[in-house]
Amino acid sequence: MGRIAGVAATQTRERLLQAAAEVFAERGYDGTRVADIATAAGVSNGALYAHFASKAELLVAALHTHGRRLLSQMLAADPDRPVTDVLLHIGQGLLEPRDTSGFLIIEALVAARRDQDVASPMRDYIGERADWLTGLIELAQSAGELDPVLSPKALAHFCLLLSMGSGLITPDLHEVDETGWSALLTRVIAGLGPAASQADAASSQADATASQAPPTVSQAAAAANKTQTGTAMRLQIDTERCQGHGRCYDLVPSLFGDDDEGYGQVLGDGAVSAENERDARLAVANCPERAIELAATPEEN
Amino acid sequence: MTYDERFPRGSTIDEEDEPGAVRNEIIVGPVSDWATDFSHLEPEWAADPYPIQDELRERCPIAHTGRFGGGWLPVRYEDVAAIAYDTDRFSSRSIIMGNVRPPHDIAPVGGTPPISSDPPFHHDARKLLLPAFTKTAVSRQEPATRAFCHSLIDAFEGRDIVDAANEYAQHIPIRVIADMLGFPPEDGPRFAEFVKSVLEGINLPPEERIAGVTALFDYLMAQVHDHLDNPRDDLTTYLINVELYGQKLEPTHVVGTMALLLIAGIDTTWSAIGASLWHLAKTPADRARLVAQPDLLPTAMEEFLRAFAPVTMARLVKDDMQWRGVDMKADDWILLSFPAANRDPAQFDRADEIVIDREVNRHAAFGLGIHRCVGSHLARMELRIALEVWLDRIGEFSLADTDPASVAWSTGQIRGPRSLRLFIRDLKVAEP
Repeated sequence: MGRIAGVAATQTRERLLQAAAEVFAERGYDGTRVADIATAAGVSNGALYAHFASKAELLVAALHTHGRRLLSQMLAADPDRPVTDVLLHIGQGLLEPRDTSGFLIIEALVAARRDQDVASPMRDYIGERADWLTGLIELAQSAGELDPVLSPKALAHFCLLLSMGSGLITPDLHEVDETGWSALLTRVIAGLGPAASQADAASSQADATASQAPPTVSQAAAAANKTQTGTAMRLQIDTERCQGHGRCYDLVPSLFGDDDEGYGQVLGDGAVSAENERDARLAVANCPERAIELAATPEEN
Repeated sequence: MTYDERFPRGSTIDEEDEPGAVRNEIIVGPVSDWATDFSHLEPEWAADPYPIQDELRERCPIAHTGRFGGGWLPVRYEDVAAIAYDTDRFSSRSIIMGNVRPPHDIAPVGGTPPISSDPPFHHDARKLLLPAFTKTAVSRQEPATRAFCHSLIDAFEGRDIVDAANEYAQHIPIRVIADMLGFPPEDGPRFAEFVKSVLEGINLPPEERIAGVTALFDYLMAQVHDHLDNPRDDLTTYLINVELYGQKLEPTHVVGTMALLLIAGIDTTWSAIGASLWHLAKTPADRARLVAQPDLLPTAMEEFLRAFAPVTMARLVKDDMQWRGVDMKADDWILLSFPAANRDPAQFDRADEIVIDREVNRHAAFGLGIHRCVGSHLARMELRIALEVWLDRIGEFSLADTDPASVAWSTGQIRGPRSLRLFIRDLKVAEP
């Protein structure tokens, strides 16, 4: 039958995400039917819905798994690289043609304009990336690599605009000379550095802490991690749908309980930590009435 | 003697012979074509309905029959779910597909509330029962159930062959529900008779069918009178006294709900326990794995419930309509096959295989929507204890007869083994 084992849930999930990334990037969100993804992954529609409640959820999950992760890839490759160098390098790469997965974010952003189900998780997704960048920039500022007067958020915003724009103004629409682009970026980044008067102060500060290593991606990643844990997942039960089957509190009594009539209840405020996420998803996937929702909640600042 | 004018002595309640009920010609005999002439009461369906359902799913997802006065059989998960959720167009006025349709004015209460009820009454009638059937409430029955299972196995001492359906599975739900309703445990054999006549006697001549149902309601009325005389802490006394909309329940509601709890509580769980043991008896690898990994039992149990879902429900079409490409007429039956939904490959990977560690298992064995089996927590407790004790006490077991036809399966809407002869070896003494 070409179907994969029902027990290999992780594998099914991976295949679905891979297929979703490809199909969405190729046909766009509106042009994709859930059945197309199931077909491409070689699983049934039912199996798909066992993992993902909606097309929107699938899109965002595919983005999380298969979207471009330039920052984290560079982190893995060279954790001790200076932040300005990382920014320059990523900027230079924006001229290169993207592979399929590179267009996933574009399709997702376009879909977010019209579809509320996509818009909300996309706000979280972009917000999370902006927070990473902001953390990186703050580190570079505190170490005197970038001008501390600049708003880290504004600079992060600027970087995101360049990055997302490069997915729309592609080399086949409008080509730009690599050397020229690279020179421009170098100039821009230099311009973002501390003002001359501040440069001395910054350098003397740097001297004072001479033993301190320059700000690196690994430090930034630690900062980014802090941000990530701030983006909590939250469980909710749709009381209109719940019929009291009790699969949630049977399977995951640490996250669910029942009321006096046997209807399911989320314990506490429904916040799900990273280590509980698998259990939460297990409950979602086993609810016969599809009454449980697990959604990312924006960080509360 | 306490007198309650709702329940005059010597009276009876006859559910099937109400004025306005419509009977149709009874058609029995081999099915010519399952797509146009299905019958869930023929031996072929009882023996193995799954290939029939699989074939229908491929070539005609909604089968029809002229039997039972006309009805439809959806076999895809999505169709079964859609009907279960659509209480506007499908009524639960009767939930046993047969040759008599109860009068229209019996809705929205129905003969056996709340399973036979439609909204909005359904919600309020169901609410009365829910607290007694929560997971916490039924867990109070667990120690007694476990002890009872052990006592049944103690009786196997010295024997090589036992009938797991008749001598084990059957007795467990009978004892549990008799305790909850406050009926004498020694009446157990009569309950089995009631169940058979209500659920399997569908195609019997009307007078026999009426006699069977009347015997049940006479028994229940006698129990009501006994509880009026000797009130005790059980569901029967609760139903006699409980109020709905500021009044005690109608006598038909009290007795109808008692009938529901008795009938629905027995055959179903009996079937689930029997089918699970049947699978384990013929699948040594699964049996060995569950013995080695008792923690896997709750997961395996859900798979048994999916693959051998015992319960099929029925609905009646409210008005003439086109529904997913077929012309349904008012009062056509819908045979709502949760077992068929549970084997739909569009919903389940490896739908036709028993995968005892299936982790994602959104099966519909206990129904979907507002009529989710009110006793599902009780059923799961009984099934788990029954299997735990069996696997703990009986080291080896296998089918006693190699011929699959030697296992007798019930006919009708509740499917499970009614005779299941097993070889047993290495009987262990119960640990104190």
